[in-house]
Amino acid sequence: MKLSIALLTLTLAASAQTKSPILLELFTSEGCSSCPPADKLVENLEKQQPYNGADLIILGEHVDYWDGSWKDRFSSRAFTNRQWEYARYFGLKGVYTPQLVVDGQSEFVGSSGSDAKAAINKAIQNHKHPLTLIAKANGNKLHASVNINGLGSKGATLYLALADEQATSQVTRGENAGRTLKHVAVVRSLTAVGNLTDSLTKELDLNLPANHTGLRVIAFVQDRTTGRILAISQEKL
Amino acid sequence: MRRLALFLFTTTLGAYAPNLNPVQWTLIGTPTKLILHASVAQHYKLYSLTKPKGGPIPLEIKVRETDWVPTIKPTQPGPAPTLAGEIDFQIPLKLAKPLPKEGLTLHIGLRYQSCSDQICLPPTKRELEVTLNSASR
Repeated sequence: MKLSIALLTLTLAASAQTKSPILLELFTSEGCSSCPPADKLVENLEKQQPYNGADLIILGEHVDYWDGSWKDRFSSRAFTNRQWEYARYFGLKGVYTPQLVVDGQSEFVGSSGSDAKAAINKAIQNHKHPLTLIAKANGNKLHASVNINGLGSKGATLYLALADEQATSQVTRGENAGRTLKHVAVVRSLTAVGNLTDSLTKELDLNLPANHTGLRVIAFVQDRTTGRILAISQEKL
Repeated sequence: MRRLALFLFTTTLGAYAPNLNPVQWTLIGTPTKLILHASVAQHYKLYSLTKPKGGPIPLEIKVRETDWVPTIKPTQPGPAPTLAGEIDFQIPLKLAKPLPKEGLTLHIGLRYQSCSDQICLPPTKRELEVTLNSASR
C-alpha cells in the first residue's frame, strides 16, 4: 500500500514537472458585446486546465478603446498599447476584441475554443526556460524576488504582472447593459522590470492595487524581437 | 480526455479570421448633395447615425470646409441603430458661397465603429474627398 502511494506521488510529481507553463493573454473590454464568451472561455480553460502537458496562466488585459458610455474600471491605455505591439508582431493592420494571444506566438478571436486548442498544442511543444519567482504580501506592499539564469536570448524583457483572481461587474450602460460580467486574472498592473540577454535577478517592492480581490503575481520573460514568451512563473498570494 | 472533449464541445467551433477593415466607403457629390456609400462586409454591422441610449459611438460625418458648408444633416435609410450590407447616406448641401469656376474640393471626415457576431473593432477614422464643379450639377 505504502509502495503504491509512493509511486502515485512520484507519478504526480513527474506529471507536474512535465507541464509547460503557457501564457494566455485575453484582450477584452466590458464595453464590447462580443467579449463575454471569451471571458467564459478563459475562465473554463483556467478552471478545467484540460491539457495534460500545459499549465495555463491567464492574463486578462482590458483595453480602453471601448470606454465610451461605459467606463471599464479595469481598462488601461497600457493594455491597448500592448495589444498594438502584438499587432506589429503579427503583421496585423489593426486590433480587435476579444483577442487571445498564446505565448506571444498565436493570436485569434478570443471566444474560439478550436483556435485555442491548436495554439495551446503548438505552445506545448516549445521549451520554456526555468524562472524562479517568490512573492510575499505584507499589508499593502508586495515583495517579489525573480531570478533567471542562462537564458541565451538576443534581447528580452522581464515583466511582472499583478492580477486579481477574479472580478465581477454589474454593467449599467453600453451594449452589455444589464449583464453581470465575470472575469478571471484581471491585470491591475504590468511592469517592465528590466532587460536581459542571459541572466537577471531582481528584488522588487511594489504597492498592491486598491480594492483587490485575491491577487496573483506573474513574472514572464518576452523576446523583444519576436514577442515569444521564453519563461513564466505564477504565484498566488 | 473526456474533460477536454466536453470543454471543446462547449466552446465555439471553427476557425474565424477577423476582417479588420469590414467597411468600404465611397463618396460622390454635386453642388446640392453628397451621397456617401458604405459597403459592409458579410456578418458585420456598422453603428449608424442613431445613437442608442448608452450605446457605442455612432457614425459621425463631418465636412472640414465649414466656411463653405456650415452645417450638414445626413440621413440614413431607416432609424436602425446598426446597418448591414450596402447603405447610402444622403447629405443635402447648401453652399455658403457660389461655387468657384475651378470647382471645390470637400474633405469628409468619418468616425465609426463596427462589429461582427464574434469581434468588435475600435473606433475608426477615415478621410474622404470629393470635388464639386458646376458640370456635376
